[in-house]
Amino acid sequence: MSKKYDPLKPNFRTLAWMLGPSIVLLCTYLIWPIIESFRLSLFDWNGLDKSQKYSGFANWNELIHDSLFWLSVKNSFILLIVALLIQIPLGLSLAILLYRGGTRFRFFKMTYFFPGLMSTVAIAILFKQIFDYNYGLLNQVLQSLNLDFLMQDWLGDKKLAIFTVALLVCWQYTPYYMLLFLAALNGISSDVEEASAIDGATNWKYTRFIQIPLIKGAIVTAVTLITIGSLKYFDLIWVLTAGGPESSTEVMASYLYQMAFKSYRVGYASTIASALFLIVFLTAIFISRATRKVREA
Amino acid sequence: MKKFMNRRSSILLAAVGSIALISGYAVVPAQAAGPITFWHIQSTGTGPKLIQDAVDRFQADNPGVKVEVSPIANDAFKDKIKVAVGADNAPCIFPSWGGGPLNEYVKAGAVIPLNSYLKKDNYKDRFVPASWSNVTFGGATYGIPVENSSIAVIWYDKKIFAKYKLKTPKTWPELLTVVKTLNTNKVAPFTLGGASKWPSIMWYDYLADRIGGDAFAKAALRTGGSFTDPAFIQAGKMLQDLVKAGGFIKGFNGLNYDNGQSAAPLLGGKAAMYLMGNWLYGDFVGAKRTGDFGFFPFPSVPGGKGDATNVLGTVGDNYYSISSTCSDKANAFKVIQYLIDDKSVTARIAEGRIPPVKGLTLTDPNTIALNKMIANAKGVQLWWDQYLPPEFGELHKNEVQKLMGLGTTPEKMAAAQEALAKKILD
Repeated sequence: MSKKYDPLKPNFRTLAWMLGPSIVLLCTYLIWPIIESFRLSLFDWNGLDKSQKYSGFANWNELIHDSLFWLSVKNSFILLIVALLIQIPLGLSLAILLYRGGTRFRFFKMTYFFPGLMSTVAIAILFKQIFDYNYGLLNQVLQSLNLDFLMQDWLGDKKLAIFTVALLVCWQYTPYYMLLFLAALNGISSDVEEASAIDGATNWKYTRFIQIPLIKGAIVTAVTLITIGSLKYFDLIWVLTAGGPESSTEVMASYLYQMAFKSYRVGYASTIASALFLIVFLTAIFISRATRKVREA
Repeated sequence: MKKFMNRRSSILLAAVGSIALISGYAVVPAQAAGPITFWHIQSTGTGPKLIQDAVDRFQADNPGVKVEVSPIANDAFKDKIKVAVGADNAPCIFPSWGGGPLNEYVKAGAVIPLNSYLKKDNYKDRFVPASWSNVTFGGATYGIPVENSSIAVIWYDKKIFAKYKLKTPKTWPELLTVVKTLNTNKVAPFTLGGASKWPSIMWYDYLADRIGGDAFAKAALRTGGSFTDPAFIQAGKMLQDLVKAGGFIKGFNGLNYDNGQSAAPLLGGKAAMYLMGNWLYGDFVGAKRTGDFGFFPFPSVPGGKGDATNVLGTVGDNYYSISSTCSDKANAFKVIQYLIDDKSVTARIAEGRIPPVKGLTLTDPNTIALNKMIANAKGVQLWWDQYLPPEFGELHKNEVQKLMGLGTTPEKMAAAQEALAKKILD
């Protein structure tokens, strides 16, 4: 090209060279698999045969009447609701507390972030032992404090297991949101704090009317991340309970995995994957709509 | 216009460049009579050495052939092999448990029949006849039994039994009496890895066998039987009655097998018994407490049609199969032969295993007793979840877990199993 190169006005060739590889990678590993799983959802296939048998909407019809699938949807939303109710307020409180504490609380800043540094599989294996009814740390501690009535079969009781799992997920992820909020709080100019102090704002008022409104962008981000993350949650649950006992902790992703790799029903698993995609997509749009006012205000 | 052309051509160039970049990594080298790839799951303890020693002996005798051995963890293997076969990228040699899942590979044409190899020099006669049933489909044999014989027995703590003057029960009512005595003395009768599901089905499958005799074979092979047969309902009822009578340790549906959680109560003296495969013996060896534990067969059920010598388990697994995409099938078969030659058999016996070949010389009293039990068994029923197609196996495991958690009734469970059997077995 004859034109002089101007770094502030990137020409198309530069853009193409820079974006091309990632676009191709995205198409190969993201867009195409999504389309492919929609296509496979119309087939009866065990993942091994050379031929895939077209079955129309039979898989979708089965999905709509599959009570286990709807149970897994319900459990996914329980995870989501518990996560929203605990992670946001707790993460926010911890962030504000640590912000107030400043450098004096550096030790706690590090300690509180520890769960976020651990590998999910390690957490799952560790907590399998901690929640053990007979030998688990949790019940042993309760027993030694003479709190026997609080001892529970944390992962074996079908009514309790999903909440045990949900709380463990909160334990694991709250530190991330704490960090996100802390970073947002640090982004508020100290001028604002001084001005409000001069105007006579108490600590509580400063937090309620200045800090929280100023970091609402971060809060909306956290809500969106939690929503998407909770609905497609898989790894911790798979290692911790594998969906049991009696399917009481089955979530959409674990049910999908079960169908694809344990029951050899790749076609049906693709239907679940497509449904999971739609559910996450629609929920994300809903969240985005619902928070628009907050974001734009 | 010229600018437009430029844009388009540059995008094209970028795209082509990236594709070349990706495919450069993704292209699989064409299969010349390349190395024999070999996956196995003897990945713990001395397992890898057992395999590697045999492969080394093969390579010493066949210097031109290269064998690539990959030990893989049990559960990871189950998923990995499925993806590899589905992608036409299966290893030359891989293990299985025979039964339903292997049959899926047979139906997909992913493994080859080994009959012609087995006929040569009457090689087949080297093995215990009971070992072939799990790998034979439509008259063709698709796997070679190698590793071990595994059957489910009831392991018990000898000290606890002596303390409460208990005798090992031979019948179901005797077992219930033992359960009662243990409960009054605040010892949990049985431990169970209910969260792992497969330990639970041993209970149901044994009871169904003792009560119904060939009812399972008839229902599974669809030769006039049904999973709603009264024998299955009764098996479910008796199992639920045992749960209600406090037969199992509290929280059993939350215990996993893999991390040692479910065996812990037995080793720790909190529970007196565990219905488990004979491989549990390895845990006692590990704890240096082989003398503290003994085993007895699953008790008979009065009035039941099943033979009390029948055992649940498998003779010979893991089996090794050869994939149809293997480029050097003859040598792959030779590798398998080294895995179960005389030296390999001796090495496996030293590990406390029972290789599926005839004329074993055993010394360990526990192994001798187990071997006798297998030899005297009228029938060996493979674990249902391995015998049946995977989809049925999963349903069965989930239903038994639910049954023992009292979340379903024997009738509902029977109906659910029969409904799926009608769909996929008929």
